[in-house]
Formats: sequence, C-alpha cells, structure tokens
Amino acid sequence: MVRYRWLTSSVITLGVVACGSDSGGGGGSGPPDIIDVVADTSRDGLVNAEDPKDQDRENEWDATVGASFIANLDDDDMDGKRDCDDEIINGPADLADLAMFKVSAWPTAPADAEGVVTIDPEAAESVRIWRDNPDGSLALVLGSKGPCTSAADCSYALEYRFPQAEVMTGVTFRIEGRRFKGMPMPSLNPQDDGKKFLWSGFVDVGFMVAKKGTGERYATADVPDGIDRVKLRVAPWLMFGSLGLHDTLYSSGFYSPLVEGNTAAAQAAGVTYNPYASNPTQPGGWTDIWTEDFFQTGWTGFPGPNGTVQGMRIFNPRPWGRPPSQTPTPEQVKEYHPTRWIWGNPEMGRPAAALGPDRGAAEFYNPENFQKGNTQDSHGNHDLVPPHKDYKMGRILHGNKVMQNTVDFYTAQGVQGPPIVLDTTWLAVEHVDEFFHFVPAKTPLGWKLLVASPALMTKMLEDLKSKGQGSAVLHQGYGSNFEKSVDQSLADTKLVQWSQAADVKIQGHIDQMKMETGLTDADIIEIPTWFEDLGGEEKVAWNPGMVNMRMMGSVASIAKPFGPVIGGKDPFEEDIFARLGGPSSQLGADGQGLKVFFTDDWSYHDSLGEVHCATNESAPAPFAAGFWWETAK
Amino acid sequence: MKALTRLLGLGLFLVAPSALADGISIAPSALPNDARAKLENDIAAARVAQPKVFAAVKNVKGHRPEHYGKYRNPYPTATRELRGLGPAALLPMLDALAFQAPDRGKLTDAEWDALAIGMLEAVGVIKDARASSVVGAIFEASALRPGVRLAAARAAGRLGGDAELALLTGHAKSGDPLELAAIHGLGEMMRLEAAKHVAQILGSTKDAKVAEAAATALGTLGSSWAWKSLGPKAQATGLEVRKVCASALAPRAVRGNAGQRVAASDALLMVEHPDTLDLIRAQRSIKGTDARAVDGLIARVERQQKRAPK
Repeated sequence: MVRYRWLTSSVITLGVVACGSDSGGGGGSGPPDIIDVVADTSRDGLVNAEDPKDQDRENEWDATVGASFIANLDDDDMDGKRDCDDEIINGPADLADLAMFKVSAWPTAPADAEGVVTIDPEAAESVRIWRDNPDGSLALVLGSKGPCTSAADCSYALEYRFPQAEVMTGVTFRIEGRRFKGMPMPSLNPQDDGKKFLWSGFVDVGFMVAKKGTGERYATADVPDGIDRVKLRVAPWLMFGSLGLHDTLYSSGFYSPLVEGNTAAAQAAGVTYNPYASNPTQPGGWTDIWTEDFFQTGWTGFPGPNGTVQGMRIFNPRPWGRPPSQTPTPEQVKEYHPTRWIWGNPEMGRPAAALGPDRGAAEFYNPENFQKGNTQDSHGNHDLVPPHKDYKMGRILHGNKVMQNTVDFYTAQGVQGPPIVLDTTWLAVEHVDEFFHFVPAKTPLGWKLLVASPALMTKMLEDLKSKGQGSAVLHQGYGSNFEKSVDQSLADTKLVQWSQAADVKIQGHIDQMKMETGLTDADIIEIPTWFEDLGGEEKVAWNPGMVNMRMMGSVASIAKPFGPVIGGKDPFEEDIFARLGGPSSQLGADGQGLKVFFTDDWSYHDSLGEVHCATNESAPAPFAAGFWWETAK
Repeated sequence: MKALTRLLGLGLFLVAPSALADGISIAPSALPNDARAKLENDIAAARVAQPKVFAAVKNVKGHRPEHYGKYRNPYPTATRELRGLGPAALLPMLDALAFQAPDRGKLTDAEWDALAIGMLEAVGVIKDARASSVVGAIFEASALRPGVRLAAARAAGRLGGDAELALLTGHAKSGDPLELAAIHGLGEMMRLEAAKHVAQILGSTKDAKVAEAAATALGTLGSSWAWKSLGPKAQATGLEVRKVCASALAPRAVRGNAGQRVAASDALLMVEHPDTLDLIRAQRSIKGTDARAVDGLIARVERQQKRAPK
C-alpha cells in the first residue's frame, strides 16, 4: 500500500489507539507517524522505504510487482547440513541468500508502544525469519524453530514483539525458505499431501504497533486498520535443460572411451569434468553409471542489486537408487540412494558430490516414496523445452508415467509447468531423451529440436545401397544383432517394421510438440535412428542413439555411430557433421553450427542408453535471459 | 497336437509350472511324438557339433539381476543377447525351452520369464520351421504367464507357416482365453489370410481391448516398410494385404474410444496404403464418425505423404 507520505494528522484509533494522543507520537504538524513494513516489491534488489515502487502495491504479487525470497537449500559453510536446516546464519554468503524486509523507524513512537511482526500460519512451517540485532548478530524470531528433522523437533513462531526503542529505530528482518512450494519436508507428515500443497508459496507479513499491556493497535491515515502488510513469494525451482550455461559435467568413470570423448568435448566447451569412480570401494565411488537419471539439476533465485540474481543451483534426486548388491540390506539401500551422492555421507567417508556453497539439494517426492517409482522417474525422462510462447523460462516435458508427486511439484512451481506429457511407454526405457533433444540456434526461437528419425535412417541406408555400398557393414565387431551390412539391414523385416512403428510414434510426439510450442518444420532436425524391439512395446535405439547427446553450450558430445567405413570415413559421422556442424544448421550461439565430438558409448548403448543418459551437468544460477518473476506465472 | 496340449493343460492346470517343465516353458511330453523325437535327435547332434553355441545360450546374462541391474531401465531382458547369437542358437534355445532348462537358481518369475521371452523373440526372428512344434506347444501351454504366452504367439506368427496360421486363427476367436495373444501373433504373420482374419475381428468386435490389439496387429502385418524389405516380388501381395488392413483400420481410426483410435491411426500410418486418404474420407458420411477425428487424421496422413526425411 502507499504509505510513505508526510502526514499532517496521522492520529487515528481503531478501537484502537490514536497516534498523536497524549500517549506520544507525531500528530499534528510534527514528524510523521510511521507504521510501515517494506520489502523489495520493486525487484531492484534493494529494500527502500522511500521508493514508491517498494511501497505501492506491496501486498500484491504479479508480473510487475512483488517481493520474493529463496529456499535456502545450499551449504555455504560446508558443514554437511543445508543452511536452512540449522538455526544459525552460516556466514556472509549465507546471509546473502536471505531476502530482507524492514520495519521502518517511527522516531516518535509512543512510549507505551511495542512493535509486532506477524506471519500467516500457513507459511510458518516453510520459512525461518531472523532479525538484525543492534550488535550485528542475528536472532531467529519467526517461522520454524528447532532442527525440524521431524514434526517432533519443530515449533513455529507466528508473532514477534520488540520494544518501543526499536520501533523508534526500525528493525531489519531476513527471510529464508525451508522448501519450495509443493515440496515435502521431514517436519511435515509425509502422508499429508493436503498439507504439503496447502502452502501457497506466499508469506504475508504484517506489522503493527501495539499499546503495550492492552494490545490495542495504533493506526494512521495510511494504515487505518493499524496493520501494514507486505507479501513475499518463495522463488520457484527452475529446471536448467540442455541450453543451460553449464560449467560442470558429470559421469561415471566406468567406461574409459566415454570418458575420453567427454573429456575432449568438455575441454572444448570450457566445462569442468571429473568423472567419479565406479568402484564403490574407491573414494567417492558410486556404482550407478546412468548419471543423467539419478539426479536433476535446476536453480532458484531472487532479485539482487543492479539487475543481478541472487540464487543457487539445486540438485534433486530420483526417488530410487541402485545398491550394488541385488539383495541389499536396508543400510545399503540408504547408502546407495541418490541422496547420498548429492549430500554425501561422512560416516562412510563419502564426500558430497553436489551439496555445498551455492549448491543446494532437495527431494521433491513424498518421503513415503523413498526407493519407489520406476524408470519414468529417472531424470532422462524429464527435460525442459526451451523458452517459447508464454513459457519464458521454458516448459518441462516428461513421460506419461512419472510419479504424481513429481508432476505436482513441477506444476506447483507455476513457471515451467504444467508439463507437456508424452506417452513414452512404447520404449523399453520410456525416456523422452531417447528421441528428442533441444539445441541452441541462432533463430527467432533461439533453439531447435533434434529428433530421432527412423525414416531418415532408412533413407540413408537406401542411399548407400543405391551408391553400390550395400555390402558395407554397420557396427562391425559388435555381434550379429548389430553387425549387418546395408543390404542385410534393409532386408531385416522385423528391424524395419519396429523402426517404422517407432517413426509413427515419434511423428505423433512431433505433432504434439508443434501444437504445444508452435514449432515448425524449420525448427526440427532429424537424426538417423532405427529402433529394435525387446519384446513388444519395448523399443530401444538399434544404432547408437545420436539424438541422445550431451550439450555443453555449442559443443555436443554425440554417440559414435559406428556406421560403415567407406573410403576411410563413416558416412553417418559425415552426415552429422554436415547436419549439425555447419552454418546451414543455424545451430549454436553464433549460428555457425555445433562443435561435434563423437564419443564411443557402446557399452552404454548395449545397456539401453547413450551419452546423455551417461552424463549430467549443472550451471551456476541464474540461467536464462529475463527473470522468472516477470513471467506472471 | 492342439487337442493333446489342451488335454494336458486341463490335466495339469493346478500343477506349478516348475513341476511340469523339463524345459523352461514346457516339458518334452507336450510335443507331438514325431516332432519330439526329431528335435531330440537334432539337438543331440548339434550339442556335439556346436558345444560353444549351447554354452553361449546357457550363459546369457540379461535376465540375471547382477547384469540387468546395470541396464538403464533395470528390468530383465535377454532378447538382444539371444538375437545376437544368430540362427546357430536355434536348437540350443529350443532345447532350453522344451527339453532341458538351465539351472534356475534363485531367479524370480520375471527373470525366468525374461529368458523364455528372449528365446522366443529370437526363435521367431530366426524363422526356422523346426521351431514350429515347440512354439505352438508353448503358446497353448497351461499355467503360463502372459508375457511368455504373448512371446510364443509372436514367434508363431513370425514362423508364419500353415500350422501357425491354423493355430493362431483357431484361438483368435471371441471367448477364447488366448484370443488377445493370438491376435498379436497374427500381427506378426505377413500373410493375406492373417490380415483378413484380424480385419474381420476388428470389424466386428465390441471389445475395446480386442479392437486395440487387432488394430495394432494390422499395423504390424501391414507395415509398408516391412513389405518393402521383402523385395519386389512381395509387393503385389503386400499391396493386397495392406489394402485389407487399411480398409479395416480406417473406420476404427475415427470412431470408438481414444485408445482404439490411437492404435488404429498409428496402424494406418504404418500401412501407408495408397488409398488411405480416400478410405478415411469415406468415413465422413457414416454414422458415429467423429468429423474432427477425420480432419485430424487426414492432416496427419497428408503430412506423412509430403514428408521427405532431410
């Protein structure tokens, strides 16, 4: 509300107490009576009570106004605990992750006044709010108190009172979220989905000046009911997607040819890449080689000064893990759950692979679903369609059997959802990354969609045959399921039949994407891929799935196709270079094409995955041009 | 054979599969005597001549948890491995399926079934008539889990002989407990008789699951790419089969529930018969047709026809 005006007569009572009465205050023509709480409603990274943009419409939230704060899920002091999970401020970096709001000074506050700050009950369990003390320390005064590892050790403060002297000087408060909207927490009953989603993501902060002893409120002309209010919103979790400005590449060190290929690509992209050991007995050893699948990376942030964004990257695990034993003990199930990779486990000497300064971690599924779910809950099945139409921050895309908790969480963020859902059940692995990949392009849209194309594969083989290369052999040395001449491939009735069925399915997905996103044929590039079937509606790429690639900026690590060698060259590699690597593709930040690296991923291919499945990456927050708060979502 | 296996099935219905099976899926006694004797001889000879292939079949890993646990989708499947062994693995696989199962150890039902399914998938692709009796007996065996029966049906369809045609059409009848599997099996059989039988089912059934299965089967057996793979000599038959398929699919693609429509539409796009658009347009005047579905499908077919992979 508009508050900051000089008042000529501010004394109003509300069954209440009149400022300017003989109890004190600045009535008449003296200094103003000030009952004011203010936040960064203007989104300029500053909290300024004299800025009308911070005062006007401070109790609203839309595309143009509204303050925000973040879920403080990183570990700035590297004590192995997320910063929101303790009751201290973990240093200056942690303090920077807290959004500020202020109670303005009322220098002539009545002698019997005390300040009262309140928050709405629904928000209390989702935030912690500190105040700045005069000595420079901070004190936790509102929201969740206690370690909050369960409902039993968590209490909630909805109201904070401070003395008249501080009403006169004003008080600064800092707020952090304990969770995103729609995210479960240990201190909430996991069975209580209703409660989990009850929180709107907003915190309504109220400030009043009360007459000590009676509780009556002082009021002013600008604050006629005696309560000034400001609304803050927790920032959403946002998925990076393949166009993220990634600085870190992850994979297992399990298959050295993959590591070699990725190393070359990562170096070209200027991306840090340190594969983790696949042997669990080695330091940091982790047996799950499907790095894309067991965690997702995203970010969160709120407005910082000078157009910056203050935030952090966020890692979230898949609900289920892969213990090394086939009959794991409960301890092994916990030890090899993806949470342990992200958080680490000091007791077992496992360092945190992700949690750290500006690197947050959170589980988005209901805790009762720990170690539940299926292949569709792997994150290779969850991708981000880059910005388009009203989805300025992109829109999440996933398969049709994803755990409902996760879908609800994505939708609850309000910015990149509701997701686009594709029926991926025709695939053995059922992941969207088996047939779609998004790459940067210098076009009005800013990106193109790569699609696995059985029809193109057929055409390329037919072209080879027509050029007299029918006897050239694909996948030489990889066993008779894969090793076939061009002629044999085209004459393999089942293989072409399965591939045609896949082609029809993929064309259906393309139709859906066109409808949802406005894509045109010019925004689509086909990648030759045939599919085989492992037993009825269980299709998987027959030739190495090149569309299932890893993008690092304009650099692509792509499965080596192992096509026929003709004149010393692989026509499939040549085709990809031409298709993706040249200016006609318009791909890459400069539109001159992607820098393509072929990576031998055969061992993964043989186990039903490719380069994208075998890797993962993350970027510093924020990613994206523009700001999530301007999306009005 | 069918009468015998049915009788066996009834008599043994309450017996656990492991108790009756010497092979993974059936006991040798489930086979007709002459076929059984012939196979026993062939297998014995092959065991001597090609011990490595028998060992390779015995040593497949995809159904074993320590192996499939590393797959991207960690479910048991040995299909790729077994297909990769090629035609030489036919007799070792028939041996394992019907005569002498490998040691099951602690494999779960799903893991054990994955081995059978993988072998049946591979046997079907090899397309050798020597597999006929085993595949047929497994298809009709009692106390079989659905995935294995379905794989047997597909294998029978791929074998594609007169015996398989009779077997599958005999079961692809309303009320038969093996009806759905038999329809899927016929979908693998690229024969005009199979197409006509399934088309008749699709045209007459009121059962949504049967209709969906029949539509999918027609798409598979009418696949234009598959017919093309058979070379110029097969094209005339292919065109006739595809016409039967497309004619049956067009009405279902624009009427009925969503599942049937999707299955029929996808199948029509696989069949790619030259008359497809006319067949769809002809549905407009028929009662119960969803005009929007007609428009949408026409647009989809036109896109397909204009499409040139680039």
